[in-house]
Amino acid sequence: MPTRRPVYTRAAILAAALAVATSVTSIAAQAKRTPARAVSVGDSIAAVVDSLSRDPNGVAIERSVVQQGARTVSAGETVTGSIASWHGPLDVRGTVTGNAVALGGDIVVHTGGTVRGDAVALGGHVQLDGGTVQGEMRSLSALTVGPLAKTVPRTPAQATKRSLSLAVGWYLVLAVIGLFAALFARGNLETIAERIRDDFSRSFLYGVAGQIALLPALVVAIVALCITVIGILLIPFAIVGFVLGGAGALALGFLAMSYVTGEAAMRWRGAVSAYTPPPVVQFLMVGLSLYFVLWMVGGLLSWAGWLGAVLRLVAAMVTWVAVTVGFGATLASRGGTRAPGGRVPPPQVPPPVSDASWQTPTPVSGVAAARRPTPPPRSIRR
Amino acid sequence: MSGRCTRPWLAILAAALVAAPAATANAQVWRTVTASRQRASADSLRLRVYFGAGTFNLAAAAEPLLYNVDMRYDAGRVRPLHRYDAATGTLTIRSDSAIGHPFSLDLKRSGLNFNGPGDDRNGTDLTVGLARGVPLDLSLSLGACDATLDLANLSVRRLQLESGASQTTVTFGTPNPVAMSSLDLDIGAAGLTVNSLGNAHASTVNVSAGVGGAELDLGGTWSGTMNLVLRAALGGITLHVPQDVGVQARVAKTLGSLDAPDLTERDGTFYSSNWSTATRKVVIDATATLAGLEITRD
Repeated sequence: MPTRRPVYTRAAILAAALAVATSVTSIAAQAKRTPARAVSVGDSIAAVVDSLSRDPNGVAIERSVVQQGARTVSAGETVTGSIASWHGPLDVRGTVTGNAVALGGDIVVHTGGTVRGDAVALGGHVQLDGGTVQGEMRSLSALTVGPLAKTVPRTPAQATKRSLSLAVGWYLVLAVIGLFAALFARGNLETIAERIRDDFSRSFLYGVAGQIALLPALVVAIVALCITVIGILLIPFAIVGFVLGGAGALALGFLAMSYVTGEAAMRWRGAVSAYTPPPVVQFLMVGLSLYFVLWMVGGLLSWAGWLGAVLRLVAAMVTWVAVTVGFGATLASRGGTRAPGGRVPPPQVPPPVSDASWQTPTPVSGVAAARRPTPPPRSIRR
Repeated sequence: MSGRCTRPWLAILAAALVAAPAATANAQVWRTVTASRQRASADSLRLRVYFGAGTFNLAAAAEPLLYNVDMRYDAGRVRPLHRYDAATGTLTIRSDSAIGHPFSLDLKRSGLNFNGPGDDRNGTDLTVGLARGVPLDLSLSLGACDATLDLANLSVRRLQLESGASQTTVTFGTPNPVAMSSLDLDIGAAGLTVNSLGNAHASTVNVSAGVGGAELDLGGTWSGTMNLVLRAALGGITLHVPQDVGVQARVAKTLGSLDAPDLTERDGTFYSSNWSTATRKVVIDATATLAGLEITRD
């Protein structure tokens, strides 16, 4: 008979696997950034000149006007066109008819010096020392090339990191909310879960209808408040309340669905005792973790192109169904206050404590006592 | 056997916590750009600013500059653009921002990160300096930022300010040497404070305040009559009027209120006691919808 590893061992293995997987993506990204061959100065200049022309705050110059080291335009000298220095200052005492550019240095326009175009210092500063710049003076700490990050296609490593980040962030947020729900709204949670178990398909239909009706319901509520005139004052509060209520119902529904999922998983594994009260927190966390695993798998395979996309799509669809079913059950049970069949769930009361339980080491009530085989009742002999 | 797997979610939670540091977002890439132009023969300047999130400052530039722009931004999220059109004398500055997801984990910033539109904790810093003595035409469109406009020593011919969710402070520290043809302040969901509005040298001031409300100080050096058109919705507007200024106020209230203890109502219009004798006056035309208007005498 195969033996199962203890839970903490599996936890450690899974954690290590995730850490290794994410580390590998980081290493792969770093390796990708490492140049495969030495880059010559000429190549560097050409690359910077090209990037400078594409930077929104840069300037277009010819590669041929760039020379290494410090450069000076002497008094009385006229440079036709642009001039640029590479890793050195540029001193202008004469006239530059085009742009003056310092790539990795300062530009100083001295008295009598004139730049008819722009003066641009990349990694340096433009200083006026009595001279004249007829164009614009610009100092750039570094180049900014390319469109906004939101439109830049992410590298596989970046996509993986982002997917993992989002999955972990959402999981932790929902875990915290779930713990609060288990502590303070346990009855509602269990009632909604019961509704899901009893009528899954109807809950789903209710959920779809509820999602469609959310916005019209808000509009109707606002119109109704406007009609009453005095209700106009309540509109801002109504909007905030509606949004919070809707988000709360969605969250509570999803948590209830996670509860049901976790319960099913644990029963399937035989990890639930028939004699103990339902471990709400465990059900909840197991269910949440299962959904989280879906997203993590999709996230970890973000680098895999269409396969990752398909997995994330599957995760999204599964999650949407769960949210919809939970939302529908929440609506049908009126936030967990109505059990299936229209009955009001009984209030939760703690089990009675036997007065004699403290007097004897042998349990006379509770789980331990219930598990003990008890002899059949004997008739009273006189 | 069943007891061995009573807490499988602990495994997932542990995995999430271990994986979290590796799942942090990309580090920010900060850049600075400084751009300036000598004044030369420019006789006016039009400034157009479209600014998203961060900090925005506007003040007088050092001589002999026509303008000076300093911007610090995260290159991963923002693309600053500025253009000067010499033919029309127009300087246009834009900053386009990327908006993140509502929940993401970024331990390098502050743990669990709640992003959103207008998140300016790591926003752009934009400082604009403008030439003194050059007539200015200012059109500012601000998103969600802290904005400070110090208009002392500037010659503002026109100011149009539209703000979404910015906390904006406008100060006319010195008398405006040129008459303002229009002064329009349109504030959405944040606050507006205007100091020494009397120095603006504007015959008509339009203020539209939203949820955040506005506080206007009519102090400063001015004469004649200033027309103040106020539109308040859901917020409130507080006016600080110097004692020697005569006040006339017409207020249309829709579930709004007027708090002006020093004014007396005659034929539906409120007047201060010195209205007929004051050498400088302010005529207020206000609309308050679900908002309050308060007029105090300083």
